[in-house]
Amino acid sequence: MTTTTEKGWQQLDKRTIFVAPLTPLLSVVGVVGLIVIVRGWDKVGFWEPAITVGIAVALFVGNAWKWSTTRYRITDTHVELHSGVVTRKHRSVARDRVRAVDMSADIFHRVFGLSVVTIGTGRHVTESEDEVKLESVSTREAESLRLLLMRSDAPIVRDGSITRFDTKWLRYAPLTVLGFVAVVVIIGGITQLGRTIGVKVWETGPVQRIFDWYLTEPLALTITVTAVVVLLLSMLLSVVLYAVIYWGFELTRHGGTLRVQYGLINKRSVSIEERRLRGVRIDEPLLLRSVGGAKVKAVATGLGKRNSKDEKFEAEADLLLPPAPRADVAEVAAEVLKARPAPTDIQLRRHPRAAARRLIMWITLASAVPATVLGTLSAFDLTPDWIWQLLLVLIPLGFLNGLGEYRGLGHALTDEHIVVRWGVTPRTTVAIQRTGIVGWKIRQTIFQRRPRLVTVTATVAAGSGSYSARYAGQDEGLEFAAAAVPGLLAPFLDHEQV
Amino acid sequence: MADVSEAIAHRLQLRMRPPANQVHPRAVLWWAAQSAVFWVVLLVGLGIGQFFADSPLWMVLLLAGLAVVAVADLLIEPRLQYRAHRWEVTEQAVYVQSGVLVREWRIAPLSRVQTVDSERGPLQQSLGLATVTVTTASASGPLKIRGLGKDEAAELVDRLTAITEATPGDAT
Repeated sequence: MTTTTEKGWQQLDKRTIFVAPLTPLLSVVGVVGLIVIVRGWDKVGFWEPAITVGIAVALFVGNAWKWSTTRYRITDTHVELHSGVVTRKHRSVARDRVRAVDMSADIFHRVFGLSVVTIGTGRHVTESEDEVKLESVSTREAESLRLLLMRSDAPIVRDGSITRFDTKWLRYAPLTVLGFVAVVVIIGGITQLGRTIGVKVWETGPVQRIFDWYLTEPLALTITVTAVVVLLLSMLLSVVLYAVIYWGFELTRHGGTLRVQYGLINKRSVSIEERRLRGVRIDEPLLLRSVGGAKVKAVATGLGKRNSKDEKFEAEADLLLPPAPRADVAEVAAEVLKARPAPTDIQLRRHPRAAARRLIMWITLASAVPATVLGTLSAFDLTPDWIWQLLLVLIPLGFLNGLGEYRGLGHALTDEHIVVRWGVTPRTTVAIQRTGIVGWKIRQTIFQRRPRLVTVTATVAAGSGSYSARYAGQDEGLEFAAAAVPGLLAPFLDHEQV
Repeated sequence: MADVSEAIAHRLQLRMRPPANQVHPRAVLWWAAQSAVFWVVLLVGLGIGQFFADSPLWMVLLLAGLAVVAVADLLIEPRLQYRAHRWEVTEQAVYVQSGVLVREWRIAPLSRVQTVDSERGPLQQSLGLATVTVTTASASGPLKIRGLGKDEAAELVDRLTAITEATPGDAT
């Protein structure tokens, strides 16, 4: 694949003309098929097949045209893409600003050995403006592009596989929300599809029978059965989805680049240059945490919130480890951060008790707002009483949430990293390289002044842009910030003898 | 971390030192004018509504009360803002303090500053003021010094731009 370094413009893979329309075509065929099945063959006239064929032809012609007008080249300094059917577009990205090369391939692409390559600089400003998407090139070409663009002079540190998919991980799948989301999406999808083709799903026989059953059986039974069915269905679906999405997961390090690959049907491969890596983030949603599971994400410059439109279920570009056991999480964090024990695993400094009182008070007060508002309304006979009585449940939940928030808080400093933790679901622990901190933000509300609490925020040119130790004690928090980046905060501190 | 913290603070209480410089005194007028626009629109709107709707006495009193609050706010709040908003530029960093109810101190090392701009809205122009915005590579928002005198602002922008241009790398 030496042609990639030539000065000349190149075209995308010819097979794209045929392969790219297949996915949209499949959904068209699916919808038409459903219409035919529902309405019966006898009602099919001239227009239905004609329109289908028309759409198909239009898709292929459009794609062929697009293919013939698209050129890309990789010069010594830039990646350039020239495209356009109606309006001509030219996009170029400086090679030294390329921070991620993302390869993805849906089932059709895989069959034909093609890949969609997204070359991103990941400026935070806009996502699509600053990336070049090659749709699509041969997988071999994609691979060599990746190697060419992600070449780095960084010293090689223990190359090879860091972690690999383990079927044990599947046990954590039922505790993710994947399945529940899938159930909702499926029900919504069926209803939507029914509406499109003019069938009222809610009035068909089976659904009506279910309704009747709900009306005749006692409430307690129906609620229990519904809960059990939804739970079982979503657990089953989440295992299936987990396997489909994350099958064959592997995190490898090669030549200063971390590479994540996964996917059973849609293969996905994301490369992250280590010199763009600023830290890792560990997310423990409530359920997953209860069994000691977590997932790991990279905090890296240029891995913004790009959500790929190709994927139905969000497969994040910054993923380093899908929901997995604690031991694997610690291993990945330690290996990626090159520090043992993993900074995210060490004992964090708890925040003062005053923080607990305030957090619990504020969150409980906030959770009492709905009940108060509706209670007032029902005092004027505007709403029935049971609504505000039901909303009272939120108050103890708010209390527990506040307690959980407090128990989550913590910060620590290691040789190379700062570590902060916050949140209930997910509880998030972030370790950031001390050299990656590009500024500090110290915040104190009027209520925090007397109990001497502050929120200390490190700003970083990666991830969400800032990571905070919330409600830290004023002395500990400021010391922490001053010690983390020598010489930055210290000149602006006052020491008062007490 | 333990040894570092013990070295810094032994029976010492820490706090952020107020930055050296204040913004231009006319900034008080600027902030007052800004909230005056808000209050005038609100009060005139309510007043017209009440005039045509033939409202009861207690609503008229409420409006009068609101007007008193508005005057108090116009007199006090801009002065508090002026006292709270301070800034400083050292050899190493930009340091800005702001906020009355929520006090915020922001520090950006000059080596990580990406762009420095100044902007002037119509109100600021008429008062000869400017806002200087210092952007770092972080997505968490820029540092802003609001209500500087326009000459001071121009001088500051030139100085910061010269420093940041001299710094190699992309400041991430």
